[in-house]
Amino acid sequence: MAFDRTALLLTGFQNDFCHPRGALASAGRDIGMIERMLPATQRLLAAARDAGLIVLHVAELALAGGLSDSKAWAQRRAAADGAGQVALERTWGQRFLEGFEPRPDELAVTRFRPTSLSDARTEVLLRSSGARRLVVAGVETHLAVLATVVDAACRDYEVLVPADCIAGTRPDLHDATLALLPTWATIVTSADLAVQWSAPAGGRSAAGERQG
Amino acid sequence: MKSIWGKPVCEDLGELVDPARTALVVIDIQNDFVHPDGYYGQIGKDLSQMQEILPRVVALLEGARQAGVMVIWVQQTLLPNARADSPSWLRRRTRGTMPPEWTLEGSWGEDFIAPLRPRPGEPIVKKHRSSAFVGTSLDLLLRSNEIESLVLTGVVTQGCVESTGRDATFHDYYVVLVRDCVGTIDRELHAASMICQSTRYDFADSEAILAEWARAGARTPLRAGAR
Repeated sequence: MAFDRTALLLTGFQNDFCHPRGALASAGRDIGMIERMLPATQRLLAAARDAGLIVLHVAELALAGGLSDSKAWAQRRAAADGAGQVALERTWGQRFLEGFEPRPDELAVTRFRPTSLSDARTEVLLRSSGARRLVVAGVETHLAVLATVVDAACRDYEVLVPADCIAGTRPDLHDATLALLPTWATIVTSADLAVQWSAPAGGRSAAGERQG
Repeated sequence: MKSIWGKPVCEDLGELVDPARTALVVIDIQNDFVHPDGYYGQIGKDLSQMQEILPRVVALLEGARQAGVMVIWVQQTLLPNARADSPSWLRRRTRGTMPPEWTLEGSWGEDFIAPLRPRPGEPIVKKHRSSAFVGTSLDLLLRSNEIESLVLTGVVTQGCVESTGRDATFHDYYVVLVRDCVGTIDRELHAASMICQSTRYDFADSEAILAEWARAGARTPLRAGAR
């Protein structure tokens, strides 16, 4: 039995990261690159849905009262000059951005650390769905995207990154990460993927087989 | 504490359930397993042992909260259309032609049985396998809160309780199984599992643990709400 499927993994499409009233923008960060990336990612999501791919929505989550932070992690966050409290449980900022909400038949998980696989539940769901290939889109490039891509590659997934569906608030670190990513993943565009996913079954490349 | 190879090792029950380093783990006490209208009840399984432990679990939970012991709720969860089931796990779960549809996400059967109710600040860990350490953030949550010891209660003894207890020892936690706060649908299986588990970690009665927590509470200021 073929159990070799492609999953579109979307990480960080939440109000705090992508919305003008979210935590990043409120902290004075420039979310322009993120806003410009959203339409291409929405088209990618629509193409994945049309092709019947697995869709996995990953949302950052912080429990109130520091319950999900170790001392080491709290210290790192403080030292890294973050945007303060983000993705706090039961807040509007933690919720998915409009247009990026999971459908009932899609997978949705939370993560306490930047890598999407930090909650081991994610890998159980991916294994159960037969995903062997991950297409990773999200924010921010040098944080959640990089951590997810490296982690997934080290756990033996084939990883593809559409370069026009990742973004961050630091163009310098975005560019530096883009230079690093080919070590771990195949860099493509959302248009490449959409073409592959919509092609008839016989002509599909490894990245775009129709999933049953 | 005693010293073994120069390492500090917990010795007595008071150290093993020290409120500052201990979490009470409540496993799978959900309607589909314990309530007469739930899955097990509806197919005629013997719920008596699980019903018997409920008042003692309630008392233990209350004692934990008063002593500021971290409380963690473990919740078996099935996703629609077997989305959290692998082929091998489906074979394992299937006795007839289809696997049982219990603890479906969002259903009444998935919910904890009254009067057991998680409070804010008490994390709920959803799991799709037997052990609460497989496919969950349990280890991360325990580490983040400097928990070293787990007090285990819940159902079913030979299934999720035993799987979680063994995994906990392999993840380097002390384990204290609450002898009178675990149960299952088959008393023979329960007895066999308790023999096996007793070779692996400590057992204690709920009253003895409550006495330790009350003593610790009298000694130090309450930590409740500090987390």
